[in-house]
Amino acid sequence: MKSLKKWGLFLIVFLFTSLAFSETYVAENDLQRVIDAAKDGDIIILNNSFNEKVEVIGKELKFISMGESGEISFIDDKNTENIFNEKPVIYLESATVTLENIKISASNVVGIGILNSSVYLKNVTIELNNGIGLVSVSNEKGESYVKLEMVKILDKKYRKVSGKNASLTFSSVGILGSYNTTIIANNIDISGMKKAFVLENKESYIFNSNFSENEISLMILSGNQNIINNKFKLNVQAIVAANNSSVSLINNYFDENNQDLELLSKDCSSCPKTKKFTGVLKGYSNVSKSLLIKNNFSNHFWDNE
Amino acid sequence: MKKVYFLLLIILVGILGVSANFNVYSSLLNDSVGIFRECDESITEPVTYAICVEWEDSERYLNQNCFGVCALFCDAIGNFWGKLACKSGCLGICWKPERRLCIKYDTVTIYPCKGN
Repeated sequence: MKSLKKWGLFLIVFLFTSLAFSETYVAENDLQRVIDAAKDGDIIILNNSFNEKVEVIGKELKFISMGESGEISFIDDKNTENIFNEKPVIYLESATVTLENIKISASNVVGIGILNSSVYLKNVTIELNNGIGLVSVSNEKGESYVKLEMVKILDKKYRKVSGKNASLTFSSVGILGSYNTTIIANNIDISGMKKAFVLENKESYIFNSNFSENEISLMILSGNQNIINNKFKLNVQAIVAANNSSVSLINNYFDENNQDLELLSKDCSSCPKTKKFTGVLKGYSNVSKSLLIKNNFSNHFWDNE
Repeated sequence: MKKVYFLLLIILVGILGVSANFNVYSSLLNDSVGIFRECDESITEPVTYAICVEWEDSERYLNQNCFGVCALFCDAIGNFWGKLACKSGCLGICWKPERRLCIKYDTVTIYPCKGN
């Protein structure tokens, strides 16, 4: 009992001292140097715009911008042959990072690259030009966790258009989740993307979000994907699902998409790893404004509005 | 007597003729003719829209140029993150959805319902 008390006291003291020693840095220039100097639990306030690539490896840090100034950007002028060959604007490896009130711009590169890490984006805007907003992967033993709240991803060239007969060019991808990644996305807004989400990861919960004028909003290739209370408007294709994925669609609203939902009905011979949909589709209370054939869906999958 | 009957017959035929003529005339004046055209209560002026009358459907496909550049060199990527991302990401990036393109348009005019 005495030794337990001792350990408890030790833990409290340890916790208190580590909290007391967490520091706040104000970064004005050379962000990577500030990151290198920071230790677990530290807060880095961005007080400038940074045109550099940065990486956080094996640390727990929080980046925050107080005003409009906090921007991390990288514009790669040369036309990259393979975007994955370049380091992302922000690279996280075995790290736990929060980004709050920050703008990230990525041109011809990936905005945020994650390997075996945990990231929380709150009130973040990612502006892309021929780039990918966020790519999360893990190795066999590792795991990645992505939490998004009030996140906006848009293409720099994107201009909102009205009407169905608009011609759009898509050049960027919003979020690519794969391997052992869990994604929680609440209240996000993605427009003008080739693909808003490519989901090839273990599990996702995407809710209260808007997807408009994308080529494909959600491309589901595997995993357990839960799509709840979202709005899909004016997309070429709102959702396409393939392979053995498990898809739950609850209370989503589809309006003026060329196609609301496609479950791949035959194997794609020229596409590796892409077979027809043999997974599970569950759902109820979804609303579609288009005249699609609703016979193949279970009762209450579509709400009769 | 025959003369009187003949006169009565002429008067009767005359009355019937005028009455029939009057019926035709009055129906031409009063009868409303139904014109079936689309109207919209929310507009005050006629509006003309373009509508598609002929579509061209294209199948989904994998853009092999994109995929070739992306996927064939995954193993050559130096960093571990890039290698993993490349192996899983190329398919999604290079996939093109099924789509319908309009190749012929026509116009349709919607009139206000009032006074239609």
